[in-house]
Amino acid sequence: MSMRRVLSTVSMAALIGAGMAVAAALPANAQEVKVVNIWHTESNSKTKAAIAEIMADFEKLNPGVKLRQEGVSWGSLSAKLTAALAAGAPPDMSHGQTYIERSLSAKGLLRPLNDVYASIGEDDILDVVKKLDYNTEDGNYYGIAHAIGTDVLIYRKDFYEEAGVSEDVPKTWADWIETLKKLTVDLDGDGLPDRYGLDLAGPGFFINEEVYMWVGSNGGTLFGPNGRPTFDTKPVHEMLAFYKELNDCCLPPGWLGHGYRDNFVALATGKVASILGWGRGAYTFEKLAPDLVEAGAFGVMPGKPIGPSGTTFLTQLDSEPWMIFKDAKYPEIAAEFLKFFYQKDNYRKYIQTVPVHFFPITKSLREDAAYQATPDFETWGFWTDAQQNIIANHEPKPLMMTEWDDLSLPFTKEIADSGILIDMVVAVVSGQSTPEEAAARAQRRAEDLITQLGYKTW
Amino acid sequence: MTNSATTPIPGGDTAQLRTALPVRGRRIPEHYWGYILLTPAIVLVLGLILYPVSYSFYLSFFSKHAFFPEETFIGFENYIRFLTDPEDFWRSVKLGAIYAFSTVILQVIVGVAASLLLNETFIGRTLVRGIVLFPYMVPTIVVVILMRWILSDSYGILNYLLQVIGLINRPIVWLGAENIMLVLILISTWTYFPFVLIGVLARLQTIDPELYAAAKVDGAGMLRRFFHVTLPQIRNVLFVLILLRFLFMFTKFDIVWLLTGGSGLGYYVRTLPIFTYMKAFGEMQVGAGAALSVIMFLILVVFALIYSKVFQRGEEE
Repeated sequence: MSMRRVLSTVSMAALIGAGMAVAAALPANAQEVKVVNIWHTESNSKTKAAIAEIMADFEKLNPGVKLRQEGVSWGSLSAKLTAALAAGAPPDMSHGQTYIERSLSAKGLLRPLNDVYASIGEDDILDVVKKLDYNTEDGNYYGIAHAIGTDVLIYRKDFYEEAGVSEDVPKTWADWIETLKKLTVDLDGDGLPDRYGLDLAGPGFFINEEVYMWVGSNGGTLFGPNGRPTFDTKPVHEMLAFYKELNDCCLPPGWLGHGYRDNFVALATGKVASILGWGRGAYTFEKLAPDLVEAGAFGVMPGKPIGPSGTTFLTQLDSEPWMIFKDAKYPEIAAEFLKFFYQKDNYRKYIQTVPVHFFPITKSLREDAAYQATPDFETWGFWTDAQQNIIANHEPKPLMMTEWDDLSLPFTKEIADSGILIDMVVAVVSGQSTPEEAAARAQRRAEDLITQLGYKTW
Repeated sequence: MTNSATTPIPGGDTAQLRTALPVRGRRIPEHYWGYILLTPAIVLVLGLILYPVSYSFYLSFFSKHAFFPEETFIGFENYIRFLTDPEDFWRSVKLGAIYAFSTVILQVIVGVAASLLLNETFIGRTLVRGIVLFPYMVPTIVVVILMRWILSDSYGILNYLLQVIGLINRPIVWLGAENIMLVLILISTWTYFPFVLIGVLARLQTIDPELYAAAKVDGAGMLRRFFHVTLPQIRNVLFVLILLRFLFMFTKFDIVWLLTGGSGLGYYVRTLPIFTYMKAFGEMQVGAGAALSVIMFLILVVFALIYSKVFQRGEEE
């Protein structure tokens, strides 16, 4: 082939390519479509449909805007966000945990949401929500909870009755263990338990959750005032000893392999007598055990037991915030959508998809007659009441935060995702280490990590 | 361009055609075409393999957070930290080696056995050959979800069936601390043995049947025919398959992570790729993660060299 022919072929191809590019660009210029990517962790089909409906209404009002929702599981959200941020391609908006929001805002990656708060009306938003997301250092809000809720102790009333144990909240961990031992029963007479007192979820997210809740309920903290980890302390040692005792007496042998949903299945099918969990689980019971739901066999405790060194219990405030990424493609459109999302009718539509789990963050919606008439409250009103009591009287805190001051720590996400707390628990429950040994090692690892990340301040 | 360029000359061969065509302008020398045609492949290799690998080497000498562009040169600190860490790093190497060796051995045994069966003639052989590839074609996430469902100690069908036929009287905790490594090895074997099967079966089909006939005449039984005819014939294929499978299994991430990742159980199967991922994307220390990737690469290079040497020595003997 001659050089001339090569050149003419290449020129022709280039011309065709350029022509196609121009042709493709023309309609885009005439009507540019701005695609806004929104990640959330709501897997419920009703919730997804409600989000789609709200999005469609927003698109109608904003021609040229296309909102795209993507459901991400809790287990993979953190890793997916990390990868997207590291690649410089974050979504425009996403759900997170408060500790993720705090870590990301400390790194300057989030857009302030003060305008969103102003649009809703700051006075209308519950104080606890504002406290969660307000950065006292720069006076900005970097997240806003889509809803709130609390982690509660869920139990089978029929099994409690059968075992002759009180349905009141056990006062101490020792009382709780005694109750759980009575609820761990051998049904077939072979000398081994067939039903266990309690089931826990094995994924790291939930082990982190138990650790900080139980340390908090035992008068302890995970971090000192200067940010130094406080893992190698008495409240943590006692928490680990409690974990081990629970593991040995009252948890199913395979609990480390149980998923969160598996816990609800186990309770519904009678494999265990109680679990820790969230309001969404009510719908699993409706699906798996409608007869038991109708018979009122499920109960929820309005509090939790306290550890030997504690004076009050700590439970988790579910407060997943929406976050908008500063360096995303369309952060301003995402903010406009968020304002639209919290408009009363839209927000009610969203909240009512999983009303036992989603508590509205606005006072006006809580007082709204249409919200209060939500049919699910007829069956599950006791569950929402229990959560209401905890939120109003027992100051629940978000994941990984035993103290409100922990909100200012920039490394909680890294600690949560490092597996340090999980390894600490596994080492103790498997019998490989004593609580003191495991806590000392976790302390060392956490200090090393914080130092390597450049956040050491002690 | 003229029509003569595309119209064959009746009765003429390619060489005649070339000389017969009118040539306009300068010709590109024939050997340049090789380079021109190779260019896309070279660009791809440089961009998709050489650059990321070199960047990993580079990053491994830095302390760098995943989110930020800032990086601090720390020399060999990452390497020293890991190589002197028996609790996490060497434990993950050990677990990775146990996982890789066990799965490769089982994959080879099952793969060779299945390929011998499928090399025989029987009704429906083509169908069975297709079906047996199924585990390899199923997406990993589907395999994991399926297995979690089958093996659950609360509602798994395996425990149910074992109880129904009376083999056990209470559920076995397959996905518990004691059994998780074994379960992972078995699931991985089931998923990846078809790779060995395909390679071995292809080789088996090219063995001269007269070799077997001669062995039979000499009175060799089934086992002796396997060890003295089949095995020497598939030896080279097995060498490549074992090497590839070991490389794949030692670096295997998806199935291990999906089955146990981030959970309490993950502690018991924290192989080197998982440990690397946790450093880079859990703790956000990409410099440390890069150092672990480089160490993993070097371990595999050393393994491949030793393995080749041993194989060559065996050949010579």
